[in-house]
Amino acid sequence: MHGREPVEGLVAAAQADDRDAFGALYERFAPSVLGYLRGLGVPDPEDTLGEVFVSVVRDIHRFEGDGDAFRRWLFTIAHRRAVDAHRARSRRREDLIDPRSLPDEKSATTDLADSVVDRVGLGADARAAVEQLTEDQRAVILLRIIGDFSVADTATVLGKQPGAVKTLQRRALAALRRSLVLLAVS
Amino acid sequence: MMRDDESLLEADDVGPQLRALRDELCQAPPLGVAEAHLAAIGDLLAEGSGATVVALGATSRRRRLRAVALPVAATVGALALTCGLAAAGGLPGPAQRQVSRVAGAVGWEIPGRATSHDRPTHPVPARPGAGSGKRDATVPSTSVSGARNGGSSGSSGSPDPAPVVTSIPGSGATRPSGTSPGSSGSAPGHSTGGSTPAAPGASGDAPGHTGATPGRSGSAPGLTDTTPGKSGSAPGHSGATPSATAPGKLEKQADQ
Repeated sequence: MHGREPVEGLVAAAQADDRDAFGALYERFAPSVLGYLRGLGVPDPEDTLGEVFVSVVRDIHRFEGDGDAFRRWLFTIAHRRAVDAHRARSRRREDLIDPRSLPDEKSATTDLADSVVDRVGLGADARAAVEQLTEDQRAVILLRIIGDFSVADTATVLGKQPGAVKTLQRRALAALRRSLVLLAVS
Repeated sequence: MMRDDESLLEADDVGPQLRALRDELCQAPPLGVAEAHLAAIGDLLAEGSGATVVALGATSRRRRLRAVALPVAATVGALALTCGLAAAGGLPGPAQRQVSRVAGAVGWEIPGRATSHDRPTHPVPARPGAGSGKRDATVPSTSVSGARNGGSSGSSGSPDPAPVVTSIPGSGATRPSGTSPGSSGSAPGHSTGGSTPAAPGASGDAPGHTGATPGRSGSAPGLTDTTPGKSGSAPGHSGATPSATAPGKLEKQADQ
């Protein structure tokens, strides 16, 4: 029914509690939001995706803006849910695991080649490389390539200054290039 | 050199890899997952929670707080008033007796008789062996007088038996018979002889403490066991087993 209707139209219909409009919004944005959550390493990305859309349903009447503003809003919710999920996982780890019982863990800077065992393809290389980035660097790269956001929009989603986002991006790209070169060599 | 705002996907060196990464990550959710999510969305819309939640917003918290706070404040106020009146003996007779009984359970001494002269004051002849289970404490617990004024005709419909002063072995306290089960003697919190409402683990006074039986803790904090012998939810209520303070026991003692 809603087909390729512009996002603004879908949002307006959703604000009128049009169930089909919500379905269309889900269909249009769920893959990219899920991709973002997967890329961030959220423990249960599909579950978190559900939470994101529940929040959208609950708060859509408060939303004002065009299609781009809606995308920013959506990914802002997704980012916050991802942060919550990471914090919850960290807390569970602290509660449940006695560090003394763990075997020697690999250091955070694991050999890149080891992390790509059995992986093939450019995507796998890039994924391994992205996993080596810091959380903020990863978020910037993913928002830029998945959300197709500008630096300014990325800053809005992350609640940072555009200058900080540029710095994060430059460092992230430098790290990615080094990692991908290493992978290519190995 | 790439400008900051250029699309990363167009970068010569990392562009292809990043495109591949995007395609790999952005797979649609499995059908079952999508259906579940859409069903949840439908449920939310059906409940009207979309509009409702937004309409409530921050004011709902205030409204909810008010909805809880007002009745609580009213209850506290009413309780305070009742207790004050009871302490002054200003409540009507049956109410005064009731409050006195409850207060006695927590070791508070409140006159069991209203100060208003609504009861006859002529003495009732003593009758041995009398006593019913739910005898009101019509005299203060410290009284050892064998004479009793009036009776409980207002409550039970039958005349009060004469109070029989009973000595509780080992307690050093004496009290007239007919104190209701669970009511304490002169010592605050002291429970009636033969009952063990104050036994460790059985009082349920401790928040969340539910009973003496190991492994039976399962109730939510604040909930207590309702098994006879354990206290109920009323603060200070000793929850004595009815049989522990059975009138027959008192009567028996009185007879002996």
